[in-house]
Amino acid sequence: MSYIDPAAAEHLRKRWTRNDAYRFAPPGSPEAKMPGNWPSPTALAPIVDAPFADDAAEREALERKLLQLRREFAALKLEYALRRFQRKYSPDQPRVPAGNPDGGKWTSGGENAPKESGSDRARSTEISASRRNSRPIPPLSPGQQVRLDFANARAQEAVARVQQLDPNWKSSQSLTDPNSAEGLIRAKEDMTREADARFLALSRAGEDAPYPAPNPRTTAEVLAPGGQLVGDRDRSAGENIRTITPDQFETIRTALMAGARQIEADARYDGVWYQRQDGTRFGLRISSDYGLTLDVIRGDYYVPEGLRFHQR
Amino acid sequence: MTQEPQDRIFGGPMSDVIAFMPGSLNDLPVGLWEIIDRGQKSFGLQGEALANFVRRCIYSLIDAGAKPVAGGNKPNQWELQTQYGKSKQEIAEAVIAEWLRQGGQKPEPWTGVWFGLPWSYLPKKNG
Repeated sequence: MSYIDPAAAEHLRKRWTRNDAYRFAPPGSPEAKMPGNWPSPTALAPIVDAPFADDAAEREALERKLLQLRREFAALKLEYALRRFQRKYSPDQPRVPAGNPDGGKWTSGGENAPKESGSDRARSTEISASRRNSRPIPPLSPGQQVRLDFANARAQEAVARVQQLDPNWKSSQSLTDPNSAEGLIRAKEDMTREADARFLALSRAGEDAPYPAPNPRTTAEVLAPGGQLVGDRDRSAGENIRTITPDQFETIRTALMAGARQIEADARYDGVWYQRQDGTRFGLRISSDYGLTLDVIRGDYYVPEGLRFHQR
Repeated sequence: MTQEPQDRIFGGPMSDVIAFMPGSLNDLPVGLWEIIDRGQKSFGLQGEALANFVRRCIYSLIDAGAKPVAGGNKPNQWELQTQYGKSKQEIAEAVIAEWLRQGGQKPEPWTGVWFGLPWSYLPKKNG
């Protein structure tokens, strides 16, 4: 090998080394240190925090809020785990067929499907048989599991809602055979859309007579029990756009229907309007983004018009 | 300390209500009837104060990309209303003037002028 003067080698090294080469060096190595006399990020922390150091009360409030958020997150995790636990041991819940890597495990696919009457059971058995012959659904990721749980819950409520008006109604989606987790979620979402559309169509054709109810609660009592509005605020919108679970939606809808009478909706409203005994009006329509949605059309002193409830 | 009026129903300052108003435009246009009802019920506004609240809401909606629309005769059919002007100031003043000419009362729900994003008034693609 030919001799290179160390000074020349150093010159060449500097010439061909990019200015931010320290970023590509192994962390902790001498080469990883930023050129110049920069303090480390941890050394900067007290300088950044300095303006807040005196404000102990503000810090404490922040810490309290953080703790509260952690508690809420833990509670949500617990609720989710409980829901999965309950579903896991539902006697109606199907299992992954034998021969699959997860054979025999409880599966979430279809556990929330509407309960079948005796006459439909034979057809259902055929579908199950065809599913056994089709490609198995791969395991769901945690994210897909959560989405499937939500999609299942909404589909179950939507189908039950239709079956209150038409007990024999079945979704055509129950005949599809999704081969992937995403396909399964899409099938549930399609089932919800189909059921919502059917529900509105049946509602439009419904009677004008009021739904019987001895002592219906006022709209304010239903939507804001104890002065606290039901549901969570939509993150992107104001307080008047609320997001609620399918369960809550159904509870609110049935409570508002008590004593309500169907009235002619404005031609521009894509849904059904109801008038309640307290003079308030509410509407049910299908939102392209949120599915079946409840709108307050005419409110009272405590319930503003335009208040809207979407399902989660 | 802020002296802003607080929302009687939901809590929170008026500026938040105005700032978040465009948040529901993806689902539906926002109607003048909703804005006026909100100003009256949430903040107890009347007269010039109510008109000023309506003005600020319209600015917020137009800043978010909304334009005046009116419902057609079918569901989900909205028509762009160009007669109110182009700038947000022109539009707000024209809308408020029209509302005051009609008596300054709250419009019936689902009637009157709305503010919608282009998805609501542009022609839908077939297929």
